[in-house]
Amino acid sequence: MSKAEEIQLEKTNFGSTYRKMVAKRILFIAVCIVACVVLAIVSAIIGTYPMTPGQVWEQMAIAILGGDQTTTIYHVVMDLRMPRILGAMVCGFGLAICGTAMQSMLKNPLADPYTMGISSGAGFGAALAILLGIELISGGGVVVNAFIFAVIPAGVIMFLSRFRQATPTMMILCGTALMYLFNAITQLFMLVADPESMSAVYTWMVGSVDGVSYSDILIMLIITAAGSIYIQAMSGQLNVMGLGDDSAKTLGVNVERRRLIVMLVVTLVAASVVSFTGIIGFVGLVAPHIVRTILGSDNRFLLPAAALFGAVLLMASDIVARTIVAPSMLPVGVVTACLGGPLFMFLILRSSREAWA
Amino acid sequence: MTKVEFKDMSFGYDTKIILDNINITFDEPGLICILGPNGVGKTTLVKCINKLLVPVSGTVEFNGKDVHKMGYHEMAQHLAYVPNTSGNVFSMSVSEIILMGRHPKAGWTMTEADLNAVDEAIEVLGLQEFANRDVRALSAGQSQRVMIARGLVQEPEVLILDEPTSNLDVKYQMGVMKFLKAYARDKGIIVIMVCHDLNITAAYADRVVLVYNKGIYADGSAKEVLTAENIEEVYKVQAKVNEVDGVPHIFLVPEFD
Repeated sequence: MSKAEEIQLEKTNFGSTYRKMVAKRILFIAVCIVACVVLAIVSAIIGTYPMTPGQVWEQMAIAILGGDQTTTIYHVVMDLRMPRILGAMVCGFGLAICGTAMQSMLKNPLADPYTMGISSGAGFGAALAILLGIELISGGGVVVNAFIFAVIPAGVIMFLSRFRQATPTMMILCGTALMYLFNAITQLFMLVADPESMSAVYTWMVGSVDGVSYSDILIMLIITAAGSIYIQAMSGQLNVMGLGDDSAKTLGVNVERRRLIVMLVVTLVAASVVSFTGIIGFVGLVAPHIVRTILGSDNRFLLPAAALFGAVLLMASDIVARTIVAPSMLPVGVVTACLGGPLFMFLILRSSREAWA
Repeated sequence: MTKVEFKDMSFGYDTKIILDNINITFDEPGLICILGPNGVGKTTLVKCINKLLVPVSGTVEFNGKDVHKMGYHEMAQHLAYVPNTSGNVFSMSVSEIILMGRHPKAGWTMTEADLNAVDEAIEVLGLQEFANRDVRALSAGQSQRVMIARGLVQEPEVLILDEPTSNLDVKYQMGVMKFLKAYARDKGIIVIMVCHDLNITAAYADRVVLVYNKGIYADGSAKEVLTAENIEEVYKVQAKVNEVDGVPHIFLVPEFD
């Protein structure tokens, strides 16, 4: 390098740039948290039985501190609206963090619980219970069937990884193959099903947070929280894994082992969510990409930001789903795709740089 | 003193042996260049040092400890590896990629020392104008400099590079070699790199290892190893070696039909 060039090139100040990036990312996370609270309030007060935020607060106080729990307004707030608000929040959070972790771990922008076969496996399990009355564990019904079959594709992928040194590409192709297999068999069942059962399967397949109970939410919350804490703790390793297996190993990551454990954790989180809500597509795929275009690909911040954005997206979609054609309701999965799709397209077209290859 | 030692190490894929009974020690700080024809096992040799490949027999030891009994995290504290290509799918800036070199030593949050190390690496490799650019938008040569910078911020005792100059123009090839030689000397570390250019190697290498026929064909200074006879035997091309300013200069004799 010539002297003239050396003089022109000043020393960079990455510390300053880095701190600005971190501040921007923390601000985005804070905005998402505020958005979750605002959407929860909006979702609680609007509907066929409108009420004020004060009335909602009163019913929550009654639920916690005690009081008359037999009123209609209490029933609407605490039995109808609150479970679906919390359900949408936990489900959106869980699916988005799973999608983000899968995309980073497998270095594939198309990875999500659906393309990895988890959702299709759950759908197959649910169809078995609804159409054929087959329960893998007696009394477990749709939920247990869905959970067990959701875990099977990941089990097959992990088996391949353990014994055949599967690459990320092999893993995602294997997941996609299982997705098609489960979908095909489910479609076959539906061809011979009676209209009522077929409708029930279809309703389950498009996903909904309607009818989710507090006990369901508690299970989803525990598994999602535990899984999210683990995935967040591994965020630095997920970053390094994005550099390629050789680089990641020489930067201190036991790539094969970490990939297997993260795969197991995201599968359990995604399976626990879809088992209760049915297949809510798009959130797990698109929430990470939307946030990536805004914040970049550092998983330390991307994971919590995308998870919170997933919660915001699903809560907003649920509000639209239950109000746009009230008193009827649309499946939330349809609304999620209708809201998230155009937003995603807008960000792709607006972005001067691509967030993925 | 840092020491990397191959003890009766053999490596092969399925039944085909690539490297047979290798015994070699790297224990002097400096720039060590691994040379040899295509497919002879140069990259395989260096990948056995940091556990990326597992020998079929024998061992590779780092400071007396079998590297295959070391954990990846422990190994990354001492050995860094700069691959020949990078494959980022998602967008990351050059600075962020270099910062990842601090992963083995940094915690979840980055300290001032981590961030300063990035600035220093950017400066020594002349990457200032690309610092905030998406790494995937760089040319192959610029990407190679980013990967070298990532290896430097790892602050290793042994830095292993797989053809780090293969996509660089002559100016940057010489710049990188000069820098690596000085870096090895100043930091007192071992820099082992796979390379192809005989003259660049002759000009800068403190030690040259010529790999051929499943083993180490020659090992020593550039003057000792890069002789016309060795080049003719290993590469199957005719060469003349002159000395220019005390450095062997290899002239490959072209053959025409």
